[in-house]
Formats: sequence, structure tokens, C-alpha cells
Amino acid sequence: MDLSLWIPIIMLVLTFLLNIPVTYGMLAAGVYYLLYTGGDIGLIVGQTMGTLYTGYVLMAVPLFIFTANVMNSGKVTDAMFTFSKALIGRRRGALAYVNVIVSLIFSGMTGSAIADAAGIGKMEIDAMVKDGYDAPFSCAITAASATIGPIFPPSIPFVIYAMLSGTSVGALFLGGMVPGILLAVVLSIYVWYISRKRDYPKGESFTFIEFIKFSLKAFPALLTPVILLVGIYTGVMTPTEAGAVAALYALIVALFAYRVLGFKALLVTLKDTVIGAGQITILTGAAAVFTYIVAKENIPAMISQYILGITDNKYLLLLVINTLFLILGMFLDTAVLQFVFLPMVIPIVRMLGIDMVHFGVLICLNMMIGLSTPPFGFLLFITAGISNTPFVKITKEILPMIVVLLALLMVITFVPDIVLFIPNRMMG
Amino acid sequence: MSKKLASAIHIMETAIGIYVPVTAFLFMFIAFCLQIFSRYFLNHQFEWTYEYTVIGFIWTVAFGACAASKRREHVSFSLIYDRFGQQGQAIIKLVGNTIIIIAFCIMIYPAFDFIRFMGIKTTPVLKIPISYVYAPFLAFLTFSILYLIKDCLIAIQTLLSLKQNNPGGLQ
Repeated sequence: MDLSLWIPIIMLVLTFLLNIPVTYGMLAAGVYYLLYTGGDIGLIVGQTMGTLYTGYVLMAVPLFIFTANVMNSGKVTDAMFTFSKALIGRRRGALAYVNVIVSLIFSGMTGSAIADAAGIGKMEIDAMVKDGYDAPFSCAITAASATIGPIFPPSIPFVIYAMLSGTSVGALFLGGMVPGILLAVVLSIYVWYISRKRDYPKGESFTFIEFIKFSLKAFPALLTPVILLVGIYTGVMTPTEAGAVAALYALIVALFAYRVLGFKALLVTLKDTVIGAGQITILTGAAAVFTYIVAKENIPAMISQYILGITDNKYLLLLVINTLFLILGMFLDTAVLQFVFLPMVIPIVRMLGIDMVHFGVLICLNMMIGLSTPPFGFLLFITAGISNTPFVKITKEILPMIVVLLALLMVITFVPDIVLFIPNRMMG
Repeated sequence: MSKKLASAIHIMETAIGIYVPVTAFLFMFIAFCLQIFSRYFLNHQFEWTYEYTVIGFIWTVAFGACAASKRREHVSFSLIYDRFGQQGQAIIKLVGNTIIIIAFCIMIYPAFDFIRFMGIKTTPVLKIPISYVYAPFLAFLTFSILYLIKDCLIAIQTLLSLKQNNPGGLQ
């Protein structure tokens, strides 16, 4: 085997072993590869910056991050939390249901699981523990429900997948709607079961007038996902433009309706936005360099040949990819999966005629499950950190929820219409 | 003198890592809003807004990545690294950073040359040379090298202090 093929592989292994930032590792792989093959190293700039220059769809990333940061301020999340409490009322395990519902609402604004868990998560866990729920269960349901974030539109992982695979972002957003709602439904069923079993406390009762009052208070925030989704689904706006409109709307709501954003807070929000955008999006550019090497060395073709030698049944292949990504997702960051491994399997998926929207939604769901799966699910670390709860105890609580999420993943894998029903009807 | 130098470095870091990308983001955001407003409410499509959004976006990302480099917030795989003690982590950091510093130093001149070469091309409407659009990559590269070197120095310092505290040899 030629050494040029080994250079990206060796660099990848070194990146993992030596705690090298993935962006740096990919760029360095490009340098050493081009140095060895005698190519122009300047090409790396062309690949990295060219991807950003032509990646119109990627512009949605900083806009979604900004919307999430604005909407994560105290009063907005308070309003959503109280509204959800009033909606659930006196059911047993009310706050656990509220946790799931708030995540669903929040997912319509942020598109990020980490923003959900780290933002509103602390408030949810504190309220649940105060109400008599076990801290590990509270953390586990917060982590599990945060996985809805990038599945229900908008979604930053969908935007990146669209960029990597050339799939329509609008179709992916549409495709994520039903699975996002189903995630909330299956988690609610689990909450119903466990609340009865453990006799979790009932919620508060609210009068109709109180319900209307809290609904009105939450209304401006609740309108954000509506504006975004209606804008995209009616075709009035592209998803990127919808991101800008949602960001503008979030800004107006935070400034005037909730009055939570002073100059200093706005500056902090902007600072966090640009750092978040820089961190995620530069990785997309660096991944383009890595993808270039991988394509030049024909690695996807080799993998396809190998896998197709085993099976050409697309459902079996989806099962294999799902298992592989689930295992990798237990140890690796979502960004690594998306930028390193996904470009290698996309050509095979396309070759077998698997619908790219279906695959995009299911692989994002898969990666989000990985975020909550022990031993290294990042969402578990976040919830453990913000609540000072022992990690091991959360691990035990999350396992049944992971089983529920995996069951849904399998259903979505083998019934593509769950994903494709809406995009096929609305986009033809 | 060293205080003045530290404060000058801090100002430069804040300007490049925070104020430039924040300004670029606002630039992109306002251009986007103008683009949508003119298209749907004035029934007119400005040609220049798209280029402003793209340039604003690229500058936001590249300079934002400089700030992420400063905060060591780039995505990395720490599973194995976390298993090591202070000494092991310092050695890993030293080796990993050296590999990247060498690669980035090799890249600087070809990157500069490529960006300069791109100056012959301009954006379609505003006729801004592409070299200006791509230039922040050099800032990202330079910032990354400097922070990597700083981390190497910290790692060396850690190793030396460990050796001093344990003259019999490093554990």
C-alpha cells in the first residue's frame, strides 16, 4: 500500500491519541499529504476557505447559534417552563413531562442538543430535585430529551450534513419534524411508566385564567419556531434566510418583550456566537481538506467495495452503519463522526439508492443518541456538571431511556416514510 | 515594560479574537436582513448584499476560530489524554503540538502565496479581491501557532517543575 494513503490515516490516529484538535489534525494531514505527493500546499487554503465561500447553507450556523444564545436567557426560558407546567397540570411526574415538552419547544429555536442541556437544563433539574425527583433521573431525562434539539428543525447537524452530502436543508428540516415529535412521545411514555412505578409527585394545578396568562407570556418566544418553520415550509425563505429572520425576531423579543438583553449581555451573546461559529464552521472547512485527500486516495471506493462485498441489501447496510456509528458515538464527539466518518459512508449510501434525507435524519438521530450514551456521552457530563450529580448514577438512569431511543431509531431506519412523508408531500 | 507588553498583547487578542468577528457577524446579519427586506417588501433584489453576507460570514468564522484557539475550545478527543497524569499529559501535549506547529509553519508561506495569487480574482459585484476575503486564514494560522507554542512552553514548564519536585526522576 502506498504511503500517501497512510498519511491521513496516521494523522487521524495521532489526532485521537495526542488530543490534537480535530481541525488542526485535518489541516496538518493536508500539509503532510501534499508535501509527500508534491502537491501545492496552498490548495489547503483553497479547500478550507473555498468551502466557506461557496457554502451558502453554512451561513445558517452562526445565525442559529445566535438565536439559541439569545433565547437561552433567564426570562425566556422561565416563560417556556411555566407555560409547559400549566400545560401539563396535575399529572403524576408532571415536571418530567415538562422537561420533555420544554426540550421540544426549545429545539424549535436552537437546533443544538448541548444548548438545550446546558441552557435550560439546570433550571429543569433544580426544579425537579426540589419537587422530590431523584437527581440522577432528573439529569438523565434532561440529557435524553436534549437529543430532540437537533432532530426537530432547525438543526445545526442537518445544516452540516446538507453541506457534506448536497442534500436539501429544507427537506431535512421537514424530514426531522415527525421523528422529533416521536422522540418527545416515546420519552413521555417512559416518563408515564416510571412516574407510576416510583410514585413521582403530581404537578401543580392551574386555573384556566392562569393557563391563558402563562401562554400569553410564553407566546412571543413560542412564535420563534413558528416563524422559522412557516418561512421555510411555505418557500418564502431559504433555511439560511429563515435563520436570519429567526435571529432578528429573537433579538426583538429579548429586547422588547422580555427585556432581558442589555448592552453587556448582548456583547457576551455575540462573543459566544462568534466563538461557537468559529469552532464548528472552521471544522467544516478543514474537513473539506480531509475529504479531498480521502477522495483522491479513493478510500470511499475501497470501503464501498469491501462493504458491498459483504452485502448489497440497503437495510442491512443501514443496520451496519447504525451499529458502527452508535459504537463510535459512545466514544467520539459528534463533530468527529460527522466530519471524519460520514464523508466515507455517504458515497456507499448514495450508491445503494438510499434516500439521502432519510439517511441524514437517521444518522443525526444516531449521533444524538451517542451524545447521551455512556461511557462518554457529552450530554451526561453536562447534566452531571451543572447539577453536581455523580456521573455513574446518571449512567444507570439513562440506560432504559437509551433503549427507548434505540427502538425508535430502528423503527425510523426500517420505515423511511416516517421521515419522508412530509418532505415528499410538500416538496414533491 | 513586560506589563505594557502583556496589556498590548491582550488588546490585540481581544480585537482580533472578539471585536473583529463580532463586527463581521453584525455586518453579515444586517446585510441578510436588508436582503430579505428588499426582496419581500420592496420587491427589489440588491446584488451586493449577498457578497457582504459571504464576506462577513468568512471573517466571522476565521476570526471566531482564532478566539476558539485562544480558549482551547476546538473539538478534540480527550479520552486517552485524560487517562494520563500531569507528566504524561505534558509529554502528549508537547509531541502533538510539535507535529501541528511543524505542519502549520510549513503551510504559512504557501498559504500566503495562494492568498496573494487569489488577488487576481475579484468578487462578481463589489469587485473585492478574493485575497481580502481569504486573508483571515493567515490570522487563524498565526494565532494557532502562537497558542500551540504557548502550550508547549507550559508543558515544558510542567515537566521541569515536576522534575524539580522529584529530583530522583520523573514518575
